Formats: sequence, C-alpha cells, structure tokens
Amino acid sequence: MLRSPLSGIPQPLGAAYAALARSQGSFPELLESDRLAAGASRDAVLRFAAALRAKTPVQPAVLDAPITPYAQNSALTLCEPVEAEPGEVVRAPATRFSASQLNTYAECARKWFYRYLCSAVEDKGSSASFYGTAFHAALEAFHQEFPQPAQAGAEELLRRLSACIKTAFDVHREHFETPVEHELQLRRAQRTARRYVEWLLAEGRRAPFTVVGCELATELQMEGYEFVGYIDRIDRDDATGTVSVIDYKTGSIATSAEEYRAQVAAFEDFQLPFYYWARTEAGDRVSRLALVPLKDSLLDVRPVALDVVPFAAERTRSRSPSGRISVAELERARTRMIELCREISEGTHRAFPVATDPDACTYCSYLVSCAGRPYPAENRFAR
Amino acid sequence: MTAFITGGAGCGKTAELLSRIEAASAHGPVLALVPSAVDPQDLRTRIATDGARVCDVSELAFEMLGDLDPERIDDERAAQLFAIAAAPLLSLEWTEIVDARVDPEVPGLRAPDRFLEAAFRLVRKLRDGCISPEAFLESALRGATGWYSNPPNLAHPDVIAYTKDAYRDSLYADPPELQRQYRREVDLAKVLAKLYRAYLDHPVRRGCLTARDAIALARERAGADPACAERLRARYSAAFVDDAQELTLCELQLLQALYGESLEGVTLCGDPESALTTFRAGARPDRVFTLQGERTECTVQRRSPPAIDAACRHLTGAGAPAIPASEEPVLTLFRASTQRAEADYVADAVVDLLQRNTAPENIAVLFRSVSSVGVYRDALLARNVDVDLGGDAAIFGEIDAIDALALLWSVYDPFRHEYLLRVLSGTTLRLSDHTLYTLCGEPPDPQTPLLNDLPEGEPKRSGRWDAKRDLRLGWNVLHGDRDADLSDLARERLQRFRAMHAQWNAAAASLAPSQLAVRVWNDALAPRGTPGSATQAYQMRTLQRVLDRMRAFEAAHPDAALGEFLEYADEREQNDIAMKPEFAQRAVRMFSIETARGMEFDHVILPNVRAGAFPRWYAPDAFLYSPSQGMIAKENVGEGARAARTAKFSYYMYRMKTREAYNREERRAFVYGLRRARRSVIVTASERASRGAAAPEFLAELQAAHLRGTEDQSDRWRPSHRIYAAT
Repeated sequence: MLRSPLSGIPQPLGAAYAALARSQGSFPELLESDRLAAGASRDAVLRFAAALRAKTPVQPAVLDAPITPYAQNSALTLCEPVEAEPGEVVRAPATRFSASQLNTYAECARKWFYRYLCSAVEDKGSSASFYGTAFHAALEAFHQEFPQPAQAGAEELLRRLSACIKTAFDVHREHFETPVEHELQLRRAQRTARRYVEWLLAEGRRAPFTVVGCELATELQMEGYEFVGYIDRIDRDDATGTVSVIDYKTGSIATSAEEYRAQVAAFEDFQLPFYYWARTEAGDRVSRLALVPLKDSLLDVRPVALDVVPFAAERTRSRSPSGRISVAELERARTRMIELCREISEGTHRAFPVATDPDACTYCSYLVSCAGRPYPAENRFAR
Repeated sequence: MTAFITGGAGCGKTAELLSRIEAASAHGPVLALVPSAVDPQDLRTRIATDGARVCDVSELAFEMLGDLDPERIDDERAAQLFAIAAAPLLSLEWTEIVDARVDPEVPGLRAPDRFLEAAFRLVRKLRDGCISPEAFLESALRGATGWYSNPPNLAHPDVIAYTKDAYRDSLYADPPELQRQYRREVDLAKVLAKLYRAYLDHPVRRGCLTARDAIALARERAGADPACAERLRARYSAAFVDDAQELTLCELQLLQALYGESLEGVTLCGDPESALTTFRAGARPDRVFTLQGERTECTVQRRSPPAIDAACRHLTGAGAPAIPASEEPVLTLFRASTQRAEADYVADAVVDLLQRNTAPENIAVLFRSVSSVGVYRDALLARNVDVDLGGDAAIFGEIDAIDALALLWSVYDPFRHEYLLRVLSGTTLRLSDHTLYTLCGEPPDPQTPLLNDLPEGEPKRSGRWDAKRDLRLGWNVLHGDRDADLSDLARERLQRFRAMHAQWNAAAASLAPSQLAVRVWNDALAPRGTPGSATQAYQMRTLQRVLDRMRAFEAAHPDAALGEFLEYADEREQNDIAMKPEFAQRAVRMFSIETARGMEFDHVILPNVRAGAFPRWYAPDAFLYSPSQGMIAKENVGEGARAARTAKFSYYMYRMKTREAYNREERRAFVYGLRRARRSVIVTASERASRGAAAPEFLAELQAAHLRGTEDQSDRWRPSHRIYAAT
C-alpha cells in the first residue's frame, strides 16, 4: 500500500518506508513509536497514517508528474539503445584487506566489486552460516576456559563444550529462519562437539599443546598494504614452542592436504598463508597450518593439516589429510596477495570482469544484478 | 470393450487413432484425451473433425468439478501452499512434537526448504497413485514393521558388491541400530502423513486445485456419484486417449469411474516402450496396457530411415535389421572437446541445413531438458538463426526477461537494489562501474533521514551491515544526492531515468500492470542485437511471453498490483510451469524431448548427450516410498547414527535397482528423440565420455557400434579447419 501511487505519499518515499519496514518493523509500528522523520513529505505521511488508523480511503495521490497520455494497447517497440558510459578506472578507497576479500576477488572480480565497493545488498546468511557462527563462538568461549584441554577429563570437557554450544546457539537463535533449523543444527553441533573433544584429547596426548589465542585479531602490513583478520585458534606446542594456526571449517573444504595445497598454489585461497605471515611477523615460529572440519557429526574430526617446511615438497596425488607446504609456496601466495592489493588499490578495471565458472555465482547476493554472469551449471542430477 | 492401438514411435498409431476418432464423431461427440503430462495442442491441430472435444484429462476433471468453482493453481503455487500448511511443523508447534510423541529429527528436515520440496514431490506421487494420507501412513507403518522385524540379509555378497564403497558402512547395522532406524522411519512417516493431510485440509479443501488434485477429486466424485459418470457418458459415448502410456493410476481410475472397469467405449493408443514420465509423473503403462481389450498393433516403421531405425534398435537391444547401402549417412555422431565447441558444431550444422533449403521449422534441436541450453541457443542466435524454445525452461529466468522485470522492480520498489543495479548497468542506462560505485556511496551531505533513530548496525542483522545501506543506492538514484559527483553523461541519463520513473509511477495509477510494463519497456528497455536479427526476434518473443503471463495473472487476480506479479515471477525464476512452444515461423525448434512428443521433423539434432545431461545422474530423493515396504529414508539421522545412509535405503537400491530403471526410461527418451526424425539425425556431446557405469553414454554406444549409415565426425574435427574453434 505504501508503494501505491494512490497512497498520497510520493512513491519513492513510500517505497523507502516499505523497504525500511522489512528490517525496522511495520509502518504502523514505526508510526506508533514516533520514529518517522519524513522531512518535507511529513504531512503526506501523516495523512496516510491517519487514513490507515481510521481505515478510511486515502486522498487521491499528489502525483510527482502529470500523466503523459499513453495508448493502453500499445505494441512493444522498445527504446533506442545507448552507448556504454566510458567511465573511469575504479580505485578502491584506502582499506584494510582481508584474506576472504582477496579470495572473493580471485574467484570473481565482479562479485568483489559488488560486495566490497557497492555493498548495496545485504547477504542475509543461511542456517549453515549461522551454525558456523555459533559454533565458532562456542569454541572461543570453551578454549578460553580450557587452554590446555589435555589436562582436563573428557567428561568435563564435553560437558563444558556442550554448555558453551547451548549458550552460543541461544544467542544466535533468532538468526535461524525456523525453530526446527535451530533445534536440529544445535543437535548437530552437540554431536560434532563429541568428535571434537575426542580429537582434542588425542592431539593433546600425541603432542601436548596450549591454546594461546582464540578469535585472535591479527593485523599485518605487507609492502604498505594493511591486512586484518581473525585467527580461530593458535596452539603452542608445549615441547617445541612452535605454533599451529587452526581454522575451523563448518562448510565443505578440501578433502586432502594436497588439495588444499593446490588451492594455495593456484591462488584460490589466501587464508592460511595470510595467518602464517601474520604470526611469523608477530614473532611466532609457525610450524603447522590446519583446517579443522566441523561439518559432519558422523565423521571423526580429521584436520587437513600442512606442516610448514623450509624446502619445496614434491606435489603428490596423496589423499592424506596431512601434508607439507614449503615457505617458498607461502611466499608466492604472499607475493600474489600484494599484487592483488596493488591491482585493487591502484585501479586496473573500468569494468570488473565476471567469473567464467558458474560455481562462483552459487551464493552470490548479486546474482540478479550481474547481467554478464555465466550460465548456471546444468542440474546434473534427477530425482 | 477397450480397444488398444499400440506400436513403436513412427509406426502410424496416431494416424490410426485419428481415423477412428473421425469415424466415431460422425455418430456424436467424442472425447479425444491425452494424459495431463502431455500437451493436447498437437492432437488438437491434427484432428480435423469438430465432433471431438480435445483436452487433457485434467481439463475434463476441472469440467466435472465446475460447480465447485475451483481455483486452478500450478505446482509452484501448490508447493507454496504446502509450505504454508507445513509452517507449524517448522515452528515445532505440532502437538505430537510438543508432547514428544514425534521427534522432529527426521531425514532431511535439517534443511526445511529441501525437505518440503521432497515431501511435496512425494505427495504428488501419492496423489497420482490414488493413495490417501491415511492409507499412506498405514502402509508406511506396516512396511516398517515388516522390514525391521525380519530384515533381509544385509551381509549378502551381492548387496555388498552393489553398494558403493562410501555407503557400505550402512550395511553394518546391528539390531539396536536397526531398531533406532525403525523409530526414525516411523516418525518420518507420521510427519509426512500429517503434512499430506494438512495440504488436503487447507488449500485443496478451499478449492485451490492443481491438475492432479482435480483428477483425484473428479475420480472420487465419479466413483461416489454414478449419475455424474452417466451424464458424461451420455455426452461423450466414446473416448480416445493418445499417449496412453503416460496415464497415471489416478487418471486411469478416473476413466474407469466414467466408463466402467473394462473401459467400455474407450480406445487407448500408445507405446508402453515410450513412457517418459514414470519417474517424474507416475505414469503406469504396466497398468494401462495389461487391461483386457481388442488390440491393433502397428508394426511398420513409416517415419525414420532404416539407419536411424537400426540405431534405435541397437540402443534398445531389439536387434538391428539389415540396412541397405545408403549414398549418404543419415546418422552423424560428433564429440567435441568443450561444450562451446560442441554448440558451434551444432549451430554450423543447422546453418548447413538451412543453406540446403530446409525450412527452419523442420529442424529440431532436442534436449532432455532445456533448462540450461543457453550456450547452444547463443551459438544459433549468433549465426542469425532464430530459435523457438519449448520445454522445462523457466521464462522468468531468461536473460531478456530478467532485464525487463528488473526495470519493473525499479518502478515498484527501487530499494530492491539487486534489480536496480542491473537496470543501472544494463541496456537502459549502461552506466560505468565507477558511476555504480559512486551511487552506492554516502553523499557529501547526509541523506534526508527517514527514521529518527536508524541504527548503524543491528544485532538482528547479519555481519556488520549498516541499515542505511538498505536505502542509500535507491535514494541516491531517485533524489540525485550524488549527481554532483557523476560524469555529465551519467548525470544526464539518471535525470532522464528519474523523469521517466516519475511518469511511470503516475501512470501506475491508471494502467493495468501489463499495460504499465509495455510502457516502461518501450520507454527504457533497449533491444538486443541489430534490427531484424534473430537475437532481437528472440528477445521480443521472450518479452511477449512475459506479457502473456502477466495478462494471465491479471485475469486470475484482477485486483493484483504490479508488485504481486513481480513476487510471483521472482518465485518462479528457477522453477516454473513448462514453457509452451510458440511454433514461430522461420524459427528452428529447440525443444525438450517431452515437448516434442508426437511431433516429427526432417532433421533432428540431439546435443549434450553425455552422462549427467542426457541422461542425468539418478539421485534419489531424501526418501522413497513403496506401498509394500513403506518409507525408505536415505539419510540416517538421530542420536547414535553411525553411517550416513540407512540400511533399508542401501538394500532397497540393490533390490529394486531403481537407478537402472531410471536409466532405462532415459534410454527410451533418447530413442524417442531419434524417432522424431524423418531424414537425418545428428548426435553430439562434449568432453570425454565416462565409463557409463552410473549412467549410460548413448553417443559412445553408437560410436562403438559402427552401424551402417552412421558417420562419426569426431576425428575429423580440427579447430584450424573449421570455424568452431575450441574456446
């Protein structure tokens, strides 16, 4: 009704209030709480509100423009095409880069443009993403309480982690679209937690460690470019003093160390290389980079872990979750990160190119905006 | 007594049926029917007599229910109503859940949207099979008790060998685990039965009926009220059903309710070996063609050349006949390295046929599904070959339709920024990325506040989203708050857009949505391609189709505003009712196999014939159902679950060989496509063929057969020799 030209409210304003109502509460609620500030059109808004309260017809519209006569049964003729606006090169404002930002840019420059420069459409998240958020929060609270988990008993660890998960999921309850999703994702998290604790204890027995950081804010300057990120967990080996950088993954990840290493080599993933350089810069001796899968409650937790070695290790086709990555490979990733930052900051694009792989579009909030996107991959499965 | 006309495709069954219809209609009106999965248009155009009422079975059912004044809805709308009926389940408000009599942790429910899709697919099949919610639950519970009380030998070597490595752990289920799975299955059955009942009690009882709902209700009515059946028989003493192999059980039972168990006066015409919808729509040729009756079998192949007939027989294992030496091969095979190269090859082949004076209407490019054929269509349009698309593609997902709808969104709700961005960068304004970036930014002077206390970020919203961004772009565009920072050209275009926007909104007060759409598009939507080009013709046809849908929507919802239509289109961008062909003049047909049913063409091209496309890989739903075995849940869920799949599912796949049955149907569909050709066929694919273990590789099978009259051009293809270079 607010968007109707018959509401009496100028259409753009009515549409704006309707858009606000999606997140701020219904129009009557906004009115009731005296939050409206319609400026010059306040009278029109109040007239509409009064009519709404009294349930009477609103006054005829005060139209923004006179109606141009138009034949009601006109045929489709379309308009004259226009030339593309030449446009300038787009330079990103001085910004702090993150690994996920560079991952996005590497995946699809146009997605990066929409998401980080335009930022006009909210990514509303999904039940899977809120599962991840809540699980991360729970593990942060848990490890602050248990920096040396091996010293505690399994039951105690499980009881506390279970409580942390319950709390975190309660905090994020309203993010889940439906109560059933909240309930079933919570159960999934609780079961995954058991696997996590089993792994934690086994790790502690294998090589005792101390958790020295959780959700650790990390900053790094590389050739004048500022980077920022949050490391899920940092463990210090009690015997050697070396550090493992741990990243929790609640979605799909590489299934083997070699696969992840190949992603790093192809400059598709900068996250762990960034953490490596950030912690090295901070004075840590990083010996291990690990992705900890927390997606499937039926599977044991088997991290995809790369030991950092000084010399290049041969590429293999091993499906093992453990492997090695050389400092040279991490240096190449670092160099590429700097190149991308330079490309973004100095501006090389008048028109940001679109990815050719339709997988890049799967969860993109700007799917509709993107006229040049690749055709979606065909549905290859039948039911 | 029932009469049957049977025979393979191209043997003259329909011609025989048409002559019988003509003869019978001389004695009074007759019914000429097709199953509801089949478009009656083809039959309608081929029947010369006025004495036959031609329709699909659902139209007849709606006619029988006319006094109820039902609202016809499509499956998409029905799925939405089903989801609404399921809302109390998703909010855990069902008393069974509150009282802990049912645990909501049933297979698939962790992803409710997908669960409801699968549940509604099951409900549709139950409707097709004339199974009520109560009968469903009873059989599901009986099936569960029977299976789990006496489980089969899960350790049998054949079962283990058949089950993929990744799922073999599902077979190591001890009695407590089986008991646990039994409880999950029972809860799943209860949940599904209640959802099914809720669907019948709400939308259906209120008179919102899909085609299959109407058929089910009409069947009930005809069964309960003999006078109703008598009235219909008095009107139409005889009925003729073409493509009878696609009849569902419910459709068959409706006909039996009308014409008696023995289908007195009904002629069924079809080919049980051509059934294409046993999986998708519950066709039951096994029930239809096993009825007693007088049989006429058409055996002489009248349509396809011998080499194509031989290929069909080779694929179906029917034994290839001797093929006379032919001067020119009629079956051409080609495998490209990439899909783009394949599309170029196909487009060149079409151009070649056109240059040899073949009418475009006599060339058909047939796919199993036309939902993802953009690359083939673009290759044809790029060669200025017009295309008539028909099948399972969603009209609102077409590029030209999205452009057009984005403009309408910008009129109705300029704060749907995803659409506004498309308008700004699209053919209307063609603004640069720099201008888009500027328009998305904070203006130098703060924007007029719309709320006194709009917060910067809110705990309820994802990430660190600034609520002001909900409005910023739209406001900058409509109010010109950033005009000063734009180039002269961008500013001029935006000012023109603002003036048009005001005009459109003024016009919205007096124009119907479809009239407003024409105005908006004429003002601001630019044509694609050069005047008179195939690209432009295709765009105009797409826009006309959208307009037709708008007008149909207006007719069904006279009070609906533009926004309601846009929401309707938004919901149908991925899944929609099948796109009917336009039968446009001078356009090559690009149809799905099912759309091409009953049609024939001089030349047929079957592209994308590779495992995963034609046929697709069979991926069973989250749960299957069998009247004898009950529910068969795929996902193993709940506390204590160890394997990803249930034991019953793994065993059922082995026992029933559903994947093989699915692949057999796909093979029939491929042969059906080949049989549409009068003169020649080209079969193409791209990339390396799989081993054909999970899904057959039809092209590879034909290549390996080296049949006479077949030419394999794959080896001759060289990027440097032809224009279709691999890109």
